[in-house]
Amino acid sequence: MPTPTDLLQGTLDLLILQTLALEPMHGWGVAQRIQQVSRDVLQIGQGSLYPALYRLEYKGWIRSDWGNSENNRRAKFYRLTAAGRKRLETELETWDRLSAAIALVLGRVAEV
Amino acid sequence: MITEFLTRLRFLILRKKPSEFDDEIRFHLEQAIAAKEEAGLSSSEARRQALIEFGGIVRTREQCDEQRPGWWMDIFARDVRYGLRMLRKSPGFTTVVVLMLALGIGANTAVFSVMNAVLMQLLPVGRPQGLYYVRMANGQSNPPGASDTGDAHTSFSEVTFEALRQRSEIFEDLIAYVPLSFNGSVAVRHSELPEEAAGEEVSGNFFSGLSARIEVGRGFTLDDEKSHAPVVVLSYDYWARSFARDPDILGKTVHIKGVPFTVVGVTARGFNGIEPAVATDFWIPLQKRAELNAWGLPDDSLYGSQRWWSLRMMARLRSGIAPMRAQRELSGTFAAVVKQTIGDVDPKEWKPLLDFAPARGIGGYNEEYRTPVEILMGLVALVLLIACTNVVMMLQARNSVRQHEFSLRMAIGASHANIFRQLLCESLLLVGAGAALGWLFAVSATRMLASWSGIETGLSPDRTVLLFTLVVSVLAALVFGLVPLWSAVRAPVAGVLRSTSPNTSATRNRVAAGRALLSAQIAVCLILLMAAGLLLRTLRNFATQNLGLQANGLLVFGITPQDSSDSHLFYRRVLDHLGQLPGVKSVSMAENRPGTGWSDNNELTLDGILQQGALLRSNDVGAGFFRTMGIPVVAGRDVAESDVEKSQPIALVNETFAKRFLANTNPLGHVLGSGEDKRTIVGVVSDSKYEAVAEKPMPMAYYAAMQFSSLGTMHLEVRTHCDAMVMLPALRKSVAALYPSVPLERPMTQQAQFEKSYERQRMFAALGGFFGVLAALLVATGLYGTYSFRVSRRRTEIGLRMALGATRSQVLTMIMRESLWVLTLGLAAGIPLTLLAMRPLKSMLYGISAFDPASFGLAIAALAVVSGCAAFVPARRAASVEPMEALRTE
Repeated sequence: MPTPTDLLQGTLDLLILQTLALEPMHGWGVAQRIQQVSRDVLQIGQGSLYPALYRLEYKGWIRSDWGNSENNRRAKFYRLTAAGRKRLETELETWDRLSAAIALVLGRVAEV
Repeated sequence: MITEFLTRLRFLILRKKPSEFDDEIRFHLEQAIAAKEEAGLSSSEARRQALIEFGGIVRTREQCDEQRPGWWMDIFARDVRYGLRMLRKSPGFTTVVVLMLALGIGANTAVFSVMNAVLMQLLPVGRPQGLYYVRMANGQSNPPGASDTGDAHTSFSEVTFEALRQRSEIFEDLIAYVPLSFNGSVAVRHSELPEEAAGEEVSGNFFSGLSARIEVGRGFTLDDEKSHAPVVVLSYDYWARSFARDPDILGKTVHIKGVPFTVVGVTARGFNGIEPAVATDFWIPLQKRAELNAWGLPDDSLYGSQRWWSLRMMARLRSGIAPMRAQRELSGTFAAVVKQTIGDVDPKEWKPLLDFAPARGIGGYNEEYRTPVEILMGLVALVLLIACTNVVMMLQARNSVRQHEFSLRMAIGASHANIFRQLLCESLLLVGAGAALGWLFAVSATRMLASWSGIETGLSPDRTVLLFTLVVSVLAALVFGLVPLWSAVRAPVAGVLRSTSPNTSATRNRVAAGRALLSAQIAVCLILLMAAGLLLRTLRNFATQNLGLQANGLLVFGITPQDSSDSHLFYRRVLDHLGQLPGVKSVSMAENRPGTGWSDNNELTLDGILQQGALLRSNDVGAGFFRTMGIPVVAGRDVAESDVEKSQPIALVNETFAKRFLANTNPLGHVLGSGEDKRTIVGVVSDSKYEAVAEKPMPMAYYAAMQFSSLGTMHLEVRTHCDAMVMLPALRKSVAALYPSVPLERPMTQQAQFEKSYERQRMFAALGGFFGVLAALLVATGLYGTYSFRVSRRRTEIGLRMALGATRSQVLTMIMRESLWVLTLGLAAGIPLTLLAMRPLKSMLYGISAFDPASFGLAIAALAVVSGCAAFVPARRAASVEPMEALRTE
């Protein structure tokens, strides 16, 4: 069985950045949001979520602050930085190009 | 971009608090549990499932850590810290290994830097690859009929130079240069006191043709050469040494052999001229004045006789012209100029061929440096080999004790890569320390080598040398890292952990491999000891050689008449004056100082008949020369005061001459030379050493110096009553009283001068001996260490044997037998290897065969003693094991 995370290894960063572009969020929230939006297709394993968050933070694309969660617990919130926003744009462009190309190859060109 | 970069930089240095991660994960888990509880699970079941879903928390934390940009630096630092701790725990081991490596690497670096200078280094000028020393091809001398000064195969006449330099389609530049005296240095005065400096006269294109940079002022022009301008360019080093880097140097006057010259330039730092091995202090354009003649000779100038060959040449060939093509194309011009100046030359006897030797190192010019340096390099490589083997064996021994540690670490999940990284780190630390220490050692050793070998230029360790050292060190580090890994990862983990004694991994193979290594070391050591023995005995042969004269109590120094006063009067006054000093027994002089390698060599005409193929060596000497030197006059008389310019020209010959050419007659009364140059033999003296200690007796003549029309530099021989050097200040004062601006040139005892003639051999012998002893010491350490280690591992076994009735002497024999085996094996391999290796050494030996049985015996005996001692100490310790104690430890 192909695990979702395997498929998404390259695009996990993109998903996280996209999710955080809407609003600052904690790790749990990010995982839940991706799962919800993808209608449970994409389940992010914690084993890859946190290393990805750390990686993005070390690269300066997101930053973290401690704050209070909805149920008033101390949680670490991640938010996109300016550099991260720029990064997201280029990643999205790449993604569009790539998925269009793949669709072409597979002969599944959507009606444009 | 900048903020991005700063963030990364921040995380490179800082790290997050570990508690942050914990808090974050705790929050995550709480949320997960809460979500599951909401879905209806019991709290304990929710917790269980949430934990399962999350997976390994520790692993996740590690993965998060690995994202950090500075993560690998942490790992590296950890390995280094760990390595340092391990090395600190065994200081003895660390010290010995570092010292061995330092010696091995240092010796190799030092010798390599000599080799670099001798064989590889290019001149520090622009486009050095295009430069060639010009010399006669096939080892020929100058054409027959020419008279030459300098080396017969590198000297050319001025006319030849002029003719060749016209061929500008071959040469981009052809440069002529020649020293101002035989030993290179001449008297220079720019302040009150005269000093000695090494000078050359050179063609106008010297600096421009070489593309040598000028630091201050200018170089020479063709006009300077044609007008023989009184201008001088100083070398940077001379400027720094003697003029304190005077910024206003240009335009100052310097008196060279009493002639005023104006300073017009200073060369860039690092340029010491093109004379191989020696540094030149200043350059002047080619001169026409007699006192500034090439080689300091008193006769004609360069532009006088067209038969006089004395200039050296260096060529910059046009790009695309290969040396062979230049040789071919120039032979016509060369032949024409020889025919025009000397006459027809039998092509069978001499061919007009030039050779172009790349100006690379000293070796391109002078083969005599090449072999010794290559041999030396071979010797130190062997030393390094022994040192490395030793270190490998010691590491091996240490790591087999650490087998437990490795197995334990692998059992709890360390990968091979982890352990390898750690071992590599340890060996890098060892090698790093060894190499650093070795470099320090090499720098001082190189300085010593430089002063011994007389190589003044290019010996400081440069980038090539540094690279060499680094490569050697890294190779060593890799080997030392890999070898222990091999045994570490092959050990059966469970077996090692189960056992309490470290015996498990001592397999039969391992022991055999260890023995083979020890034997190989003994074989290599035999080569080194043999070489050392032969070289040291060569040295003794030099020292005990009969010189044929009384070198003790004899002081020698050179003086040169200044201004163009009467040189006869000059020497007569000096000799008379010195002869009357208290403490001086007698004084005489010679044109060529014995023991310097210089001699006069000419065709031999005896009683009007030219002796084909015979060469006559000669020296011009003063009155009472043989009495002063202590050379017995066998027949006839010594040179006398009355042998002056107007009296009948005389000669003395040595016994070899008399035996070879005048065997059946009384030699006295026969006539040497032809034309106006006839001299009657008035005496026969016994043979004595002339050029060097190592020379064979040659037919030789002595002429009375005062019978020549003028005299250049002469070397005064002073026989003293007491210690010769004690007289030096008095002699110096005495000469200064007569001629204040005449310095004593290179004063030393005649004994020291002869010792200088085998200086290079002495250096190589001393180094060879040193490396031999060093190798023996290293091998002894290696053997001792290995045997001790083996004995300590066999304690239990020995205890058991003794408990079962073995006597102490039996245990002793058992251990000694192993060492005997190793020795026999080593000798069996080493003897043929040594015989093979001694062949190239032949050229460096004197008075001894390369296969001298006594030296061979001595080397073998020395090895036997070394190996015996190294085994005996541990063997005795083994024999004194208390059986019960040894058994109890198991």
